[in-house]
Amino acid sequence: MDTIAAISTPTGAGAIGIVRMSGEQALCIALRFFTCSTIKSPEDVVPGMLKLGTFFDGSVREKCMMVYFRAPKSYTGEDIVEFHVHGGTYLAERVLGALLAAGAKLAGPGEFTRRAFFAGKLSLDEAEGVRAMISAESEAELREAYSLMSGRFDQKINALMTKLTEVLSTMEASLDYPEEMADEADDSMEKAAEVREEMRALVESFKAGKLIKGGITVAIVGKTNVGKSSLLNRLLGYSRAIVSDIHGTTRDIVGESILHKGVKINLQDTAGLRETGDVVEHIGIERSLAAAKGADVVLYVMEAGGNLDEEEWANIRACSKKVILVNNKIDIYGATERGFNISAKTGEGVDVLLDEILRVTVGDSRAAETLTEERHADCVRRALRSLEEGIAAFHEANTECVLVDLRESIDALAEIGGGTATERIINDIFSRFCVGK
Amino acid sequence: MRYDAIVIGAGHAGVEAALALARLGNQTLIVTIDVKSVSHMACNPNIGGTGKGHLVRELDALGGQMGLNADASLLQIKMLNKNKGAAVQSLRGQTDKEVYHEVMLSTLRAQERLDILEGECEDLLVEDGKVCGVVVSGKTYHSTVVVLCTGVYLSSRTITGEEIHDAGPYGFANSKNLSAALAAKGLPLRRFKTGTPARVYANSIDYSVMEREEGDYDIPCFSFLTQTKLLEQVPCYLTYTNAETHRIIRENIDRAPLYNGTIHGVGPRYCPSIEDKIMRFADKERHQIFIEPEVKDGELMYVQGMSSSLPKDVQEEMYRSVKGLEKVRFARYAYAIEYDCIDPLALTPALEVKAISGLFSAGQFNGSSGYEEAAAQGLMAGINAARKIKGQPPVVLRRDQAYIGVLIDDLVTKGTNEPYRMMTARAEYRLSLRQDNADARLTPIGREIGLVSDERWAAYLARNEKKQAIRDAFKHAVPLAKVREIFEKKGEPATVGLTIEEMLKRASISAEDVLCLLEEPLRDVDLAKEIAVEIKYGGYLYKEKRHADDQRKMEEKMLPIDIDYLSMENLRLEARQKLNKVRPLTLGQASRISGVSPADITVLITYLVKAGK
Repeated sequence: MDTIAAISTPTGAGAIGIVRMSGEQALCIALRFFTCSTIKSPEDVVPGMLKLGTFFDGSVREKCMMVYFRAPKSYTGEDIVEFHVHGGTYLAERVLGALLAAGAKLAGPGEFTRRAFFAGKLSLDEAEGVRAMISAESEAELREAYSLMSGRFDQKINALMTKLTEVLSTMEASLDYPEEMADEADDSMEKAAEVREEMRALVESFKAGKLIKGGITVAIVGKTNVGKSSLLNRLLGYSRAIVSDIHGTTRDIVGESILHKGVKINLQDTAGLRETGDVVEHIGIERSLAAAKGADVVLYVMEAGGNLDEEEWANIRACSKKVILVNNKIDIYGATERGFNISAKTGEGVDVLLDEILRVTVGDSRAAETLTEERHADCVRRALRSLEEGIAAFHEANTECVLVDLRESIDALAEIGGGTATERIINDIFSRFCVGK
Repeated sequence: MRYDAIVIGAGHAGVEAALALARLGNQTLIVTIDVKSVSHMACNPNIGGTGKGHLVRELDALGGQMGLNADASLLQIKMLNKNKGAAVQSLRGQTDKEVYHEVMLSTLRAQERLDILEGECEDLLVEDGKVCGVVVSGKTYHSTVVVLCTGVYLSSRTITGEEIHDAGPYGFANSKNLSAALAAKGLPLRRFKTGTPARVYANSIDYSVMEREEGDYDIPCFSFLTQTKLLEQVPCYLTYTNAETHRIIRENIDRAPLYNGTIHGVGPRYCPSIEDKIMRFADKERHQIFIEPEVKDGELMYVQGMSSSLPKDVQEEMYRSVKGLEKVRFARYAYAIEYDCIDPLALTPALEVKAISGLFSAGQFNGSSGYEEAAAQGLMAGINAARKIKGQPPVVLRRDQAYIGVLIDDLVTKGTNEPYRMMTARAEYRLSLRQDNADARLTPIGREIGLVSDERWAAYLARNEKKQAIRDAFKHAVPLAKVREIFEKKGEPATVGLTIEEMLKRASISAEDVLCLLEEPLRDVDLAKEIAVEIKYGGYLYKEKRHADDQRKMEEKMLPIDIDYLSMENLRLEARQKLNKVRPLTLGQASRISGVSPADITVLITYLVKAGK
């Protein structure tokens, strides 16, 4: 059985968020992220004991507690790992996201309970509790379903399912009606590849959705006196709302947040890359590079009149995929041919720069079809994975084998869009092809 | 008269039910409106086809009769999808209709504990919610169970243009009174429609302008007991409709009962009449027409693909517009037939009517279509009726065990809005449910039920033992020189010695290629192929198995029969109503009902815990 994970505390603010994971792989997945001085290997984990340690998902380190219950002495009768993180959904979601990316499957409604039941572990008291929770949950789901039904997101999922169904029904019809389908053209794989690209875009948009929720982190780096602080002040002055004041842990990195077109942008002003002596310069660069690495977008600021420091530019680009070259002080030097031209002093070009930050991060996908719910993202990701496997197998494997993957793909989408693969396929076969005696 | 069991109808469902009941030790009566209609093939003269061929093999593996009967009357046999994977290969055999009927009739006559009665069943006797007998032509017969297999005979009418007859198929008498009697007992009846093409004289066809369709000579027959291959075969012929045919149909469409409102019954989408094909798929330039023999060296041919309910004069004109049929003479015209049947949601997975204990049903009465679908249900209804008599729990095949399981589960869990036809696309465990391994999947179950004879059991064990020996031999290492010799012919590079199993993992290497590496007694190409399939499907079979194992727990969790779904407040209203209507046998079945969500299943679970189940 799959290893499943979910946030098991109610959404919204609370003192503690609990992320629960159940299944054979639970401990193995957990230890890819959780470190603690007394745990060197899985054998060191003592069942039932709450351990304080660090959860590190590659970008953010978070102090949290982990507890492990060994099968069969657990709620589900399987290995269970729980992470207790500081309140608020953001951190819990971040932990969950890491577990899912590492191979856990998002638990369906009541799935923990179902496993507990089949393991003979569900007591009467628990059953009563679960029932109350489930009806609340399904009510929430129903509301969610209604809001989705009318949204563009639902249309997008339905459009994907329709296209994928066409691919499948052509292939299925050729198996069930070999004589009648002999003269039908088959462009299934080209169509499947199109669907794959659309799914990839949707999965990408999920990352954008996350960014919209958590905000985009922008690091401003560059040499001293090129106008980084002026730029920060200009951006803050330009923005209509100051959301919060965040003081970074690193003394000389200052963070401020602004809203631009409804998206939160967390600005990090770094200390300038100093040029006084080799050792200090080295420290300066290291520090700025660290900030750049943690950011979603890096603004590399220089004077429009200056020459590009090729080595430094290369170093910055090595640590982030999204670096924007910003030429400041065009009010003095005039515009250049490279990168973005702005004047922090007059404000010229700043709004274009903000748009560019959104474009390279959340793209044009900020519309309703952006996946923001983890459940939907999980479905589309699984659908994409199966579709990719199916396409990869297309040239070596028999049609009926490829169809195992493609059906899995459509069933994953159907968890959002409703129905089952079989029903959709059979209806489609008879509406599109003239088959049967 | 008193019987243990009475079967109403002796079509493809009825004969299987009656034979199963009698063979399981029950005094059985089978009632037919006309002895000449026993196992009558009212439509196409063939058995099998995609998905359907699987059903016949499964039925045979369980100890049913259809496979043996088809083999006894074969004119041609073919493996469909021969160039595709093993899981979608299906047998289809052309059969001699007269021989098919005669062989089955004599099988019934030879069967101990089985009586045949000619007459019309007019009423059902029910006491305290339990069936206790039937009335046939005014006379009462008592029994513990009754199996309804009325096919398309219930209040049926046949339609050819303006001509409407109060009759059954092929001019047989229909059943006039039973339908109303069943409705009066509260059974939810509805009206379906199907149709058949014309039968024409063989000597009025010009075969020389048609494409000849031969059978396969190197494949096994339907039954696992049939050891021989079919060496003498009869061809079929292929021709096409054309623009002229389509023009004739379009110009006369207002005279088509399907289009002018004469027919109300719901017809199957996968079995469209020719007028339906032309109207719905106007872009298609031509449609295939297969000319198939009704009997060996007989005078009649079946015109597959030209099912219609257009008037006779239009039929003549459109048939004669087809290449090779210019001078065709009609023996019987095409017709549509409407009939009463039951909403299968009223049935349990054992095919027992929920509202009346001891009443079972099978075949077209249950909303299916096709000889094979009918026979498969007939066998299961017969088995479960027999178990009811003995107080044993029903046998319900799971979806990962058999196409028969898929067929019945679909009918009783999801219901159907048109005559239901089996397709491989309906089976989610398609790679595992192959026609070649039907015996491995089902013969042990059939043996436990009591329908697998000693002869069949011995044959099964021998086959199994040989399969195991081949499987073991496939694990032996083959020296490099030998590997190279075989690989070179296929253009595969060979660098090290391999086991046969490893060799077979290459897509281009088939069971036939490695047969020479086995010792003489193990060189059975059919068995070697079967094992090679398991090797080649490898990871995909594993995927299916994992899904099936996950689902199994749900399938094994029985739901109490007396659950009051309507008062379960935590269930959504839709789920309460659907669960109450279907009354699923297991948690697995409940989860497949449309409108029942995973959250609803969790609520059901909490009730089970509370009830201490």
